[in-house]
Amino acid sequence: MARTALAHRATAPAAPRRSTEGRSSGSATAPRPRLTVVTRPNPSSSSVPFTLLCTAIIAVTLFAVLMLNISMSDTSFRLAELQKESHRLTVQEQTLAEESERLSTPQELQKRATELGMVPAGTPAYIDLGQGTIIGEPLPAGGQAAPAELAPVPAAQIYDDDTYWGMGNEGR
Amino acid sequence: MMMPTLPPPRLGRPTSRHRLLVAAIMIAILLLAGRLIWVQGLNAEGLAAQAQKERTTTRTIPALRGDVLDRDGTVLATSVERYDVFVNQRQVAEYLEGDSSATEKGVPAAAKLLAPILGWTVEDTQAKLTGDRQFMFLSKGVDPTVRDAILDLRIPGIGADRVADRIYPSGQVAGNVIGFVNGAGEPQAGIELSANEELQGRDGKTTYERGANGQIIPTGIQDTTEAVDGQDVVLTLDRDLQWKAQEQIAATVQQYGADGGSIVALNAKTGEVLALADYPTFDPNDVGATDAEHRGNPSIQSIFDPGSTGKLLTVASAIDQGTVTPASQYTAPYTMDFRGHRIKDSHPHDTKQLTTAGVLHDSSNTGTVQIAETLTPQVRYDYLRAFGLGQKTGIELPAESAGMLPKPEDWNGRTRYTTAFGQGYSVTALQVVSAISTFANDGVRVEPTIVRGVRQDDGSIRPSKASEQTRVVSSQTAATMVQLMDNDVPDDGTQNANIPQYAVAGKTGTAQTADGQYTSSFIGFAPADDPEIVVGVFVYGLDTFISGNTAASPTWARFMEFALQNQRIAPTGKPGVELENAW
Repeated sequence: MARTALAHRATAPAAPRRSTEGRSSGSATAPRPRLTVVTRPNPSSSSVPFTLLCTAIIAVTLFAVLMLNISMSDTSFRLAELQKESHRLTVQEQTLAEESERLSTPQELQKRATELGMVPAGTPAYIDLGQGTIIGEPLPAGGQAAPAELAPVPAAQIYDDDTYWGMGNEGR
Repeated sequence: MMMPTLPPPRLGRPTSRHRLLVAAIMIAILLLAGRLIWVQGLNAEGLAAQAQKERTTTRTIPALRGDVLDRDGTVLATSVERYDVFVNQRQVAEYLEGDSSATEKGVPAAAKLLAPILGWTVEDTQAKLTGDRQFMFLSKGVDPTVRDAILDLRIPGIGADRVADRIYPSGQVAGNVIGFVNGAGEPQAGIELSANEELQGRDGKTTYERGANGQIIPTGIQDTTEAVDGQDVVLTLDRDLQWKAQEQIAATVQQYGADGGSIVALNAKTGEVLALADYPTFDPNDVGATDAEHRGNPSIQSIFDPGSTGKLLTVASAIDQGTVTPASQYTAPYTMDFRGHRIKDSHPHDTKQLTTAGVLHDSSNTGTVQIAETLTPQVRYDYLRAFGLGQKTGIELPAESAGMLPKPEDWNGRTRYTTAFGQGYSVTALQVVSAISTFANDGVRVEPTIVRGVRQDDGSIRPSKASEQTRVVSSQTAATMVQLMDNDVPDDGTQNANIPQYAVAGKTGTAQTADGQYTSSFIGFAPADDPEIVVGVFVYGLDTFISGNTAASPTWARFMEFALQNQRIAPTGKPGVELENAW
C-alpha cells in the first residue's frame, strides 16, 4: 500500500508536468482524451499572402513591362507611319514648289501675259510729289508695239518635252 | 516503451499543400530558367549577333545641297528628290503569271502599262524590258509621282532608287553664272563650283535595328550622325534683269549676225553685279545640248580691245592730272602722225577744231592721242592699273581672265598711241564696266561682287566679304567725266542710247580684232546726275564695221529703261548737260 501510495506520490506530481508536455508534443503516456485541441498553422509562419504578394508584384511588373513594350512598339509604328506621311507630304510640297517655280519664271510669265493679250509697258510718266510736277508724257502701253523678240530665252529644259507624264491608267 | 500512434488529423494539411505548390512553381521556374540558359547561354551569342546584324541597318543621310538664290530670294538652283527606275529583265516575264483571268501576261502586258507612264512607245518599252540583264536602268531622274505610278503596277523586277537631283527652274536665265553639276553631283562650273564649300554640306549616317515593316525597334541600337545640309548662297543678281539682259543680247547678236554678246549691269556704289548675261549660253538642266565652248562666261573670260570706251580712261587720267580741261582745244584731222606713226580716225572727215568734250563726243582718235601725250606712258599705265585693268576683278566665279595690259616699257611703236583710244590692251566686259563705274561713284572703284552672302537659318544674310574700294580719280574729276559722258549722249534723240525723261551718260566703242572682226559696245549710266546702275552692252565678232551706236546703243537703251523701272529709279527731271564741242 505504502509502495502504491509511494508510487502514486511518485507519479502524481509528474502527471501535470506530462500533461503540460502533452500540449505541445502530444500525450504519449496519458490515455487519449476525448477532446483534443486541434493544431492550427502558426499564422506567422504562413507564406500564402507572401506568395500572393510576390505573384502580384511579378504580375504587375510583367504587365507594366508588357504595356510599356506595347506602347513603345505602338509609338514606333506610329513613328514609322508619321515618317511615311511626312515623306509623302514632303514629296507633295516639293512637287508643288517645283510647279510654282516653273510657272513663275520670267519666260513663263511673259508667255502667259502675251497669251492674255498684255504688252510690255511703254515709257511711263512720273509724278514728282515734292515739286508737284509731271515728268514725261503718259501714253497707253498699247500705243507702242511690243519689241519683236528674235530669240526669247527658252524655258527650262527640266523635263523632256516629248515625255507624257500620265498617271498610268492609259493604254490599257 | 512504445508510444501509441495517433491517426492523422482529419482536417487539411496546408503545409504540405503549400510545399507542393512551391515545388510546382520551382519546377516551372527551373524549366523556364533551363530554357533561358539554353537560349541565352548556349550558342546564343552567335545567333543573337546574326539576328542583330540582319535587323541592323546603316543608312547614309544625304546632305541636301544648298540652293542658289537671286538677290530677292528667288530660287535659281535647288535640289530635289528624284528616282532612278531600274529593271531586272529576267523577272518581268513573271508578270501576271498566276492570274488566270489576264488575257496578256509577262513582258507585253507590262510594256503596255509602263509605256504611257514613261512616255515611250509600247514597242520601245517592250524592247527595254526584254532580255537577260539582271540590272539595267530603265529611266533616270523621274519625279516621285511617276515613280509611284510605276511601282503601283507591281511589275516584278522593277524598282526605283532615290537620288538627289539638281534643277534650275529658270533654265537659261543666269545659267552661265550658276554653272552646273555633273551626274554624280560634282560641281563643274559657275557658282556651283566657286561656292561649293558653302553649298555642299556634309552627309550623315544612321544605324538602327528595324522590324519587318521597316519601323525602328525602340530598344535596339540607335546611332545617328546628323547630316549637315549645305547653305543657301544668295547672289547679287536680279533674275528679272538677268532675263531681260539675256533676251536683249540674244536678239541683238542674232540681228547683226555676230558671234556673241554680253550685257553687264553693275551697281556702281556697292559693286554688286545685277546682271551678267552672255549669248550664246546654255541651260544647266540640259548641259549636253550646248557645245562646251558656250558653257562659260565670256563676260569675264573673253578678252577684247575695248576701243573708244578706253578714251574715257585716257581723258580722265589727263583731267585728274590737271593737264587738260573739258574746254581744252585741239585740232583734230582725219589722220595725224606721231613720231612717224600714222593715227587715223574711223571715218574720213575734214579737220575739226574740237574741245576735249568734242573729242569724246566725236570719238576722235587723233584728238585723244594729243590728250594722252600730255602724260607719260608710266602715268597712263598707273591710271589704267588703278581702273582695274590687267588684273582680275576678284568676282566669285571660276576661270576669270585678268585681261592683258602691257607694261609701259613695252609700249613701243604704235602701242604708245593706240592705248590712248583703247587698242593695244585687252579687257573683259566686266573689267571695263567696272572701270567706267568709277565715274558714277565719285571716283572710287568698288570691286565687283556677285555673291551677296550666305543665308542664315533666321533668314538674314551673312555677307561674304566686303568689296575692296580704290580711289582712282578725284571726286571733281569724276563729276567732270560724268558731264563729258552726258554730253556724249544728247537728249535730242540723235543718239540711239537716248532714254526719254532720263539724262544718259555713256560712250560707244568699236574696236577691230586681230582677225579682222569688230567688237561694238556701249557703256553708260542714267540718270546722269544721280547714277547708280552702270550697264555695258558688248557685241563680239561682227564681220563688218557696225558702230557701237548702231549695234549696242539701242539694246543698251531698251535694257536700261527696263532696269530703271525694275529698280524703281525715277527720272530726276534735270536735263542733260550740253558742252561746247568745237571752238
